[in-house]
Amino acid sequence: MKAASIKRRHLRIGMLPLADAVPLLVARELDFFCGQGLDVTLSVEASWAGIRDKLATGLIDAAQLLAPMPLAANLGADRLGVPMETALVLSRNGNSVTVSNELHKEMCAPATEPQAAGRALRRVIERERAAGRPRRVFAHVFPFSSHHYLLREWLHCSGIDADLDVNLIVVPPSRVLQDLSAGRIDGYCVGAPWGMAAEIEGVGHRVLATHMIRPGCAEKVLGVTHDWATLNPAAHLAMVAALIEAGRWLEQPGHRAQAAQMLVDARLIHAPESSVRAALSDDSTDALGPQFVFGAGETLSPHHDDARWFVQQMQRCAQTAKRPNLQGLVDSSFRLRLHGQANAMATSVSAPFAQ
Amino acid sequence: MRVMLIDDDRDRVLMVEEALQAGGHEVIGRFRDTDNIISAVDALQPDIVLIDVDSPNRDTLEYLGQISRDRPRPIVLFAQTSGSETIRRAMRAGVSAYVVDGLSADRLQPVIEVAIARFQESQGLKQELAKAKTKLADRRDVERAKGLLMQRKGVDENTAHETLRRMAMDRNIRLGEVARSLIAASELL
Repeated sequence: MKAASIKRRHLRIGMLPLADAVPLLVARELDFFCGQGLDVTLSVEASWAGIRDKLATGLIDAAQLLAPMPLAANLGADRLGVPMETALVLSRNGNSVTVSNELHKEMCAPATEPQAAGRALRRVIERERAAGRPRRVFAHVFPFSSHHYLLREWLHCSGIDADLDVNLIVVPPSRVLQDLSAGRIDGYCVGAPWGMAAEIEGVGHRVLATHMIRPGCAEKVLGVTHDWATLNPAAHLAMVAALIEAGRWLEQPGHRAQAAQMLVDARLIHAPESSVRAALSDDSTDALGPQFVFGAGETLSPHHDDARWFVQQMQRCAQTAKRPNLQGLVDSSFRLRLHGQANAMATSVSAPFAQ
Repeated sequence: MRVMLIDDDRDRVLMVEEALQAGGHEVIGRFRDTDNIISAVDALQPDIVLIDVDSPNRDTLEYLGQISRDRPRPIVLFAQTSGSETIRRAMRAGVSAYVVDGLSADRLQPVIEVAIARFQESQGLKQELAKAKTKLADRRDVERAKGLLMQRKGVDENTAHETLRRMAMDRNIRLGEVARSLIAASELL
């Protein structure tokens, strides 16, 4: 039934060159897309703004998006206001906060967890403010990103005002190492492998991973425009089903090492190879590792508590002045029922037990 | 209007700049993708930033637009100020525009149109150049492959050419590619 009713079979899906784009690669390389009757081309994009614009104007059919992006689109907070939706969380967790060698030393090499690192940073900021020194600069990847909100959350819980005590800016992941070593930024909250890459290159140290702040936070989603989803319901479900299968496959023992090899072979990420492999390692002894979740239990479902948390963060940092009908906004952005339908179609790989 | 350009393609930057100046606009800065965009925007305060669609720096510009409350900063030009067809054409041509809040659409439109036209032109030129280069390489390699066939098989030029042509048709590839694979194979032996 599923293959026969798909009107649109050839799809272009946009993605950014990051470790957590790996479910898309897996679905293509292991023929999960083909198995659902689709012929998919992956299009590697350079920025989140670019991927959003290409999705909004129909140059690509679907895209890996930062989880808050469909909500921002539906609120009009992205100034584009083309309605978007998701029926699939592609990954959870994965970001870390890294500081420069110089700041790490000033912080007296704190214990690598949020509270100790936060206290250490606040002491540095208070000392430097008293001495009339300029504010420290921290980077994240996009205004509507978990990176931005989790960085703010950590600063806030550490008694640091994200707007007054530090400067927050956006730097593309491929540029963070260069900017950190040149002293243009003092730290950043960016996804794997860019935290560990700083340690391997000797330009910085990770001080915490974001799963220590909000465990299991939705990170990337598969986004489509509302119009596209309405016109292509069968292709949408097939695409989500294929990626659910890829996510489940990634949770089975030994598979992440194979997936890491796919990423390395695709030469997408210009970071040290060992940091790419480590990002997808099964070995969870590295507490600062990304701890990606791709498909255990119900984690691929676009849970509404994530959506509500994102909307709260947008309001907290004044990205939207709207007081939206929260339930309506969340329902139309994070499509639980579609996910359930696609989940029933994902039969080629069995679901693993929840962790 | 005060325009800032961010693009790694030097020829294209020159074309866009000339056309904008002819239209009475001022190009206040040209930057490469690796430059520090934040300090450039801070220092120059442009009315509009034209940037390569596939520049990673677009995310940085997007953020500057988000924090535009205290002073004029670029914001994204989107569907509300211009028809989405213009946006689509701009994206296809490879140009994105970021503008200061409050600029009217009719003042922007000509600048954007100039950029779209010039970006398209540069793409066309590049494709033509690539085509011309391939043609030259094809001719050279076909001559070499013919020479090889004549030498190895002891056939005349016409027969060598016919052999190559048939190989290309059988495999459904260009004559130049057949020639190159033949040359590569003979280098192995």
